[in-house]
Amino acid sequence: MILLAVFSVLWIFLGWYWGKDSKDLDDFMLGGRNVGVAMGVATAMATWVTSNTTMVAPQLAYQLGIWGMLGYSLGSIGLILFAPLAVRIKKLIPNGHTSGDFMRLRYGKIAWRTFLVISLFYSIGWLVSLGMAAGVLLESLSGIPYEIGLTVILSVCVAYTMLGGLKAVIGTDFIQTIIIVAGVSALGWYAIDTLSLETVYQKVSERNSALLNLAMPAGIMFLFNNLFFGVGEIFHSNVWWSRSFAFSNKTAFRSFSLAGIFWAPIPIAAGFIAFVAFPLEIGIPQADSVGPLVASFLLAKTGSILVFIIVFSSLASSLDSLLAATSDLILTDIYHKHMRPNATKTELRKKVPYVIIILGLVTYALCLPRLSNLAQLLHFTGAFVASTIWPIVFGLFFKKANPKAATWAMILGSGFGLLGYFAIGFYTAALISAAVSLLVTLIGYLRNKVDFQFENLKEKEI
Amino acid sequence: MMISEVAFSLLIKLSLGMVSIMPVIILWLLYKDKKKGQIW
Repeated sequence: MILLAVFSVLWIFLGWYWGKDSKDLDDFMLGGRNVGVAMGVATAMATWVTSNTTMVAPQLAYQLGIWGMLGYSLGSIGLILFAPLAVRIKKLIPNGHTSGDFMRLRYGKIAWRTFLVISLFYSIGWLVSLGMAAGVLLESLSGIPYEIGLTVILSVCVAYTMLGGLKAVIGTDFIQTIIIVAGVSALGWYAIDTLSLETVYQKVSERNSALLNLAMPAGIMFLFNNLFFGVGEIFHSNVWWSRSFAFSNKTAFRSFSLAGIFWAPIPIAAGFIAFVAFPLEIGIPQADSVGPLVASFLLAKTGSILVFIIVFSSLASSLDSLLAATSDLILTDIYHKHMRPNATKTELRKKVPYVIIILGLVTYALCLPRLSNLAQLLHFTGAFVASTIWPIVFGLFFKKANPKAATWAMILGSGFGLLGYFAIGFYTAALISAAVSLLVTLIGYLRNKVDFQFENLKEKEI
Repeated sequence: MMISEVAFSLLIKLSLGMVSIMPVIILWLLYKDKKKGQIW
């Protein structure tokens, strides 16, 4: 409880401190559009390290073995591939604010609105899964009741995002990145020092050799599905587009590519903890609790505190980014473009805090009943987000990318992806969605006779 | 086909090693940005 209070006060103070000069809309939403490499790398890493990375990576290693860890680590490919896209985005849309701006200017209103539905559904799904994870994890790690853990984390993130905007998000992400990586590595090295890697390997091969099997079919399928899910999440989400607009021209490419390279070993280092359960002979009642159980077994109370700090930082670093990016999308694409097209920058700046508070309240209302099926919402979104990959890539690089095909690629990709989810398994949704979307986008591209003028993406400033 | 003990050890040690030096690299990048006057 004391730790929770200390970190809460620290994040809110830093949010206020870093954001006190963000009076202008671009300063607040995009950190002044001149973020350097260090902050860029740290914020991309911290945002992509969610509670899933630190908690689900051990779970996947425990269930799917080596491929579970490696598959999760492939999430880094999305960040690396986004680096050239970020450069292209900054060049084509220098005054842009959101991913919605691109879809609207490149493909027109129907594709834009289809995209907004997908993007907002994904954002809410991610917010709810993070909010619920906050309540559940804090309860299991420290005994703090679900409602209190959820209320504290969500209010703290809403408070400092509202006070400081993207600068507060990026600044706190920087500190949270250092806490997360230092914590994960300390835990890993302590485990190796206590048990030795040879012992871990031997005990895993004795107890469940399938986990070390490189030909595990479900694991391999998961690996490719996770690759497309991750790429889809990053390519379409305003969390990453807003960072593209925020990073300076010189730093965008380096920030994303370095963040991807640095992020890749984190799920492996975190996932390794699950293997330690075998030599320690810990009974694991539920696979999703393997990380905290091993940590508390290895380091007793210190281990629980360490995991608590890592998880709290992971949750806050993603929640704040998502709150900021989703509120930007709601403010500019829904409020400004649909409801108040003549609104000035000053007027929009004044509305931002209200949008963040409303978004926080909606998330809170959805998380509070603790409906377990809501936490699964994020899994569904794999089918949706993967359908946006090809319309975005073709739209950014090819003049003949077709607006109608882009809309159908998103609709059909999502539909078939969902079909795969229910008919085969969660690990096929993104894979099928991306394949169908590619086919439709490609057909549209080949049939299109009209060249798009990329100059049309350079919209006047608000 | 099982992953060999050597490959397993290498994978874990390499990953943990990379994660361990990350704070130093990030702080060094911040120092360089500060010298250029471009933190944000």
